Amino acid sequence: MNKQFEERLSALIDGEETQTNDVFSRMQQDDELRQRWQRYHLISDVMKGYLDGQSFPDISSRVSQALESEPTILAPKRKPSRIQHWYKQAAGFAVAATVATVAVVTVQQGQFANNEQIQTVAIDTPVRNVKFLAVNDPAHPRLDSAVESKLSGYLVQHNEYSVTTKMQGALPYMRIVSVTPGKRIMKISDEK
Amino acid sequence: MKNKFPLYFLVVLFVPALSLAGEQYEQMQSLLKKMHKAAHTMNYEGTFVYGQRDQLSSMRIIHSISDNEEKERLVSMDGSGREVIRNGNTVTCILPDTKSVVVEKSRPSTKFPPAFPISVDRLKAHYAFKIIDGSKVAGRNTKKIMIMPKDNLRYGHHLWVDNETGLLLKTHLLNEESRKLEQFMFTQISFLDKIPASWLMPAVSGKEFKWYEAEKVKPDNEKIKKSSGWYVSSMPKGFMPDMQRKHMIPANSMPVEHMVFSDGLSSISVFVEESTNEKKDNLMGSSHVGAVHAHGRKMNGYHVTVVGEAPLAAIKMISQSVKKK
Repeated sequence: MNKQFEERLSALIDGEETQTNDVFSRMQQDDELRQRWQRYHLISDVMKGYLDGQSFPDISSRVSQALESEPTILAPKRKPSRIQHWYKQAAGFAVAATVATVAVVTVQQGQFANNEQIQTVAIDTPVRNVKFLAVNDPAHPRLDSAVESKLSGYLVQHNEYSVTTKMQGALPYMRIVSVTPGKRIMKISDEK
Repeated sequence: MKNKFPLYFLVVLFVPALSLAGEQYEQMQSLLKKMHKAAHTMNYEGTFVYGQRDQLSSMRIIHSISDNEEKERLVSMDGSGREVIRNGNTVTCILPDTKSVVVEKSRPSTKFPPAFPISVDRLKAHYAFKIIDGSKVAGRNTKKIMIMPKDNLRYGHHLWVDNETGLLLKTHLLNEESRKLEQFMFTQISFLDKIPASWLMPAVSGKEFKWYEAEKVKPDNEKIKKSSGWYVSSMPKGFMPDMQRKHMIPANSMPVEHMVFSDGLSSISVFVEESTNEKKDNLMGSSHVGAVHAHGRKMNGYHVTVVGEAPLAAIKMISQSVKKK
């Protein structure tokens, strides 16, 4: 597949390509193209946040089980090389919407290159990575626990002398009582 | 004559508008007073949800008043087991997740009921007000008070107040872009004649926890007596010094200078303590707990920490203006 066609395929998924007839007729005949179509959609869905990250690993584990129970049909030897090929193509993939995720997938490739069930991994990896990045938001790192406990002490002192506590009693303490520790007090990384 | 007509017209137009505003301020003052009285004098037990940014949690609150003494207990219902008990002059924070109990005994000496802290007259310069009928909260009819700031250095408040008792049932705290930063809302509330004493007891004994108690920290009198000379050179408009004291912080054997500034609604605390570079428990830079922002910085052998229910810009402005005479 040439690069131009690949970009058209991606543009079609992003809703930016209107000439569709030849793409679809090629897809009817080309098994590899259909799979690529599916993967690009998956990447696009992950990028747009349509997958919650919970449902997908379940599907992939079911795929794994299917692979184990039916090895002759679902795990032909040529598959790893096809994935490798896709990664190489993907690295030069120029359409804006999917670039960020593709970069993550490429970094992760090495870890799974020797895995026989590589197709499962390929589906699973983008989902996990996106979730990982979302949880450890670098803009809001957690405070060190010693700093946090001292700040909690200051917060008690502050509460006892604030107008809000004089008006609302214990209510401002909901900030200390609520949620799991470490999530309560966040560092704002606007400076050192 | 021709020229006088518009003048009459203006007078006719403005007099009702002014008296309407005056009425609104009076209504505001009396509704806030009712809310303040209810918060301190009612026996109640309720469940509420608290949300800040992307997190939601539920808590139970119990408030009791007997023999002119208030007792309050706030308990997490999310499994952390955290609770805060306010009783007389003591605040006890039980934190099972960190296996610690913090007991703070330096609450301001209060008479009962405590004085009403707000003057609507003073707030007028920096906030606009409105009262409308609010939606039901926990099945009860409410009035909704809207207090909106005139600049971006303080928060907006929407308060839903119970028509019958005056108790605060729901709040929205709005940031400088009028987005919801924090909210709380009762889902169930019961008013009772008497609160059973057992409801105010902590769920855990805390025997196995580490206790930080204010009275067990021996204050170094020499250090406490030493004149401090700390002040804040510039702060958001309308903020004035409310209180200044020196005390010991339970988790920390150093004396701390504590100053409180307020615009009459929002309060900001400044803490200054002696510090060495080896100390690793000082906040450097900005942080937040819900709608409370904090900012810390080093200053010639001292550490300054500013904490308050205000936008980060206001907190930083104060932090950067802390000076020694």
